[in-house]
Amino acid sequence: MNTNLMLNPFTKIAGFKALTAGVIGMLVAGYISFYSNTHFDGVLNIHSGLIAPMWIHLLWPFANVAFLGIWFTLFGMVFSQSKIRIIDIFGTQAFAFLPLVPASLMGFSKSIERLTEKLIGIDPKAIRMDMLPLNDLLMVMVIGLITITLTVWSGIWIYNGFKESANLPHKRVIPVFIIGIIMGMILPKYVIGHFLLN
Amino acid sequence: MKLPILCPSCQSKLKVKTLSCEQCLTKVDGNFKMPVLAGFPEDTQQFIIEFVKNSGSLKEMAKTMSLSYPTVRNRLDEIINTLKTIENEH
Repeated sequence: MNTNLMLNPFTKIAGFKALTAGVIGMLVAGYISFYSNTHFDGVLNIHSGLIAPMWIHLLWPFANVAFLGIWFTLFGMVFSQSKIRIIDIFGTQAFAFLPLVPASLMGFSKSIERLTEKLIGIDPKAIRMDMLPLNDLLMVMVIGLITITLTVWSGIWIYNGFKESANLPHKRVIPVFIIGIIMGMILPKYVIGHFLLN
Repeated sequence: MKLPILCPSCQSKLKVKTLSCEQCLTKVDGNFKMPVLAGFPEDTQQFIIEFVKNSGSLKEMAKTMSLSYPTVRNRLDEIINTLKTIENEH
């Protein structure tokens, strides 16, 4: 796979094929995240430590992609000079979730849990490096780096998926994308957290 | 060899002055306008040819060119916009 395709696979795939691959990815990630206690609580958000029913874990990736799909479709319909297809927008957004699938495994590492337990109740100013288990600290850093890389990768795919499927003028793509991402980080988290988890 | 469409000196649009027959070497002189499609790069001309050959079906085009549907549609929209600009210039 060349670099261009790694950053923008949507010149080659969109529509129903992309949607199918994305849906499979979301189901796999949701399923794994139930067992690893990881959750995708918002667009480009991955956290560990949630114990919730399986359907909540499965719902979260779908809610995030659905939010982005609706948001980008609305603005695509208003601003695009092309005749856009909804299936392309939802398909590319579902596909853009795929880099995050491996991140659902991060909760299986006990290092995050052990490190969190160590840190709970300690005054942040009193934390010294020698208080923390080195192996766990290294493992958390590695997991963090991998997760950040996957998140950035997914973010690039979200942007390129939107750009390719909606064909908006450049000056419109960026603000719609940025506001969409920010709202997508907040809204699904709030709706599911507030109405379904409590 | 690439067909030059702009004057290398002043960047104005070039016109065709002479046409010749390779068979009998007859030459026709005049001041002919370049066809609109000649103004496009070669890959764009090929895209237009493929589009016609596929009966204008973007889905078929996407299959033939191994590209996604929106990529092909965006390319076509770009060509349409360029054509409109050329039309407005005349």
